[in-house]
Amino acid sequence: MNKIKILALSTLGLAMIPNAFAQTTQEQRVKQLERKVEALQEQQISAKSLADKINFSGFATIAVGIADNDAQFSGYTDDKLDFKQDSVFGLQTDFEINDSTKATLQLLSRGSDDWKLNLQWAFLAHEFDNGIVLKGGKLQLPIYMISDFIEVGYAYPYIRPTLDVYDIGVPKSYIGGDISYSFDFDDFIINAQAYYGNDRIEVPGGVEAEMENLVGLKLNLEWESFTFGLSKASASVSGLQSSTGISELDAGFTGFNFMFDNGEWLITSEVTFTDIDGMMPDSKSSYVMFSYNFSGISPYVALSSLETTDNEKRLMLPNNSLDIDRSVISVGVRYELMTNVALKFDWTNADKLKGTSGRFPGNQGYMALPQGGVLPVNTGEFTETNVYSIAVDVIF
Amino acid sequence: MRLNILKIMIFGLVCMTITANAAVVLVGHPSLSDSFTTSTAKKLYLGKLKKLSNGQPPNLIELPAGNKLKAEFHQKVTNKDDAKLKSYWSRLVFTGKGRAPNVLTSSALVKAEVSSNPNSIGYIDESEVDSSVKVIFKP
Repeated sequence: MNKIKILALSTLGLAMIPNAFAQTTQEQRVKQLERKVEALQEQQISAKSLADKINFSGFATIAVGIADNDAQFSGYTDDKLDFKQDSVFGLQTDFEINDSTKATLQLLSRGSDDWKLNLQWAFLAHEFDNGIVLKGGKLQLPIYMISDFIEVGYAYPYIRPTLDVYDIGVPKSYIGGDISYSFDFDDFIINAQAYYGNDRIEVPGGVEAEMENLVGLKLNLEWESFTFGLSKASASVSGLQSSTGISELDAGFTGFNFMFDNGEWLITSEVTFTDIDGMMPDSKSSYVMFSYNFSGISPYVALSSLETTDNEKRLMLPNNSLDIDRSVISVGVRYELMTNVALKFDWTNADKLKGTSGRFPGNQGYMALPQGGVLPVNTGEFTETNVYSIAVDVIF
Repeated sequence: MRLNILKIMIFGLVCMTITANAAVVLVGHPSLSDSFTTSTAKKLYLGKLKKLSNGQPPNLIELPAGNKLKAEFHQKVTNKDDAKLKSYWSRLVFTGKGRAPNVLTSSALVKAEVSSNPNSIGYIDESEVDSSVKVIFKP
């Protein structure tokens, strides 16, 4: 009997527990919930700070193209749809060592390089309290306006940065150090950057050489939607004996660049000059690109030219072998498929070679020299070419 | 009586519509002494402003792509749409020059983050401003 009473009481007690809870004031509940929210926020913040320390980012371009002949401008031929030439995969990791120091690694695999995996960048960067940033390691040679993100197709409107400026044999990376500082007054921002280093480079004809004492300076002035830039660099190239009989050559680079970007119009232009001792060609290149953004659809036109400026030094060579002259036009459109996916169509025409090879690989032949080594010659087979290409760019 | 309740409800709805149409504002932690102009807010949201007045780097908060408040803020401040912003930040991220802003999915989360972190800056609708955050710029 007692047992039953106890049972009944405890059942009653149990039944009263939810009641008791219902009676706790709403305020208490709100406080409990607030504490939970705070705990969740703290979790979120600590989880984020871990994610902050290691940051993975990636980019990829899958491009396909075909040309109307075998001039191989940009690598394309007329016999097949080629997926390799402009396709690239990149993966970047930024490790935050502390608040002001980080390590960056970028791995790159290019279709045109048979998808060989390359360590593109490997550097440490430290920002001092006064805002000076010091970098050291294997770095991108920042000689052009968009050198730093030249592989990231998503970051620019066209399929490939103008070959007349960006693909004339200037090395893309170096091993050394870089110091930069940026300061602003009123609406102006000024960036100054200086670098020093060396690297092993490949010169036309597949010869390897040493680039030494590379010294460069880059200045940028930003105001409202405008950016003006100046880039200067010099280096000595040695180890070329086999092909030229000269042991060391001095090379110099001067570039001017301009950008206007107001969200609708993007206008960019660069004029560059390269200068190398002796018979190796000096060159002058330029381009201007206009792109307009109709909310997600951006047509563009790029006009460019490349010419050698010291042809008189090579009069003894047959067929203007090393001389270059050409004009290029690219017309295309970029569609924003999703916020991190872009689709691009491009038509590019290169002509007005004026009897030169136009730096078309299809026009390049080699002649064996009696004393050993080879001399590049112009076969003159192609005087014009058209390249049609489609690309999908993603970032992740 | 019924009619009165109805009137109050209608009044409330009207108020909500009015406040929902209020403008976007930039908010920071109440301890922040910075105040921005269109030009400095633009620098801030394009990653060009390295330090706040407290000496710390700003922790920028964005709303997700496609969000109306995000579109309004950027239309008034940076004049860039979602794709342009993504492309712009990809240039900074892949050069190691910057980190893309953190994305939070709602104004409530933005407010919670801003009120709990003195370096965090975000934008919310003016109607959602309360004492937990400070308006530092009204575009």
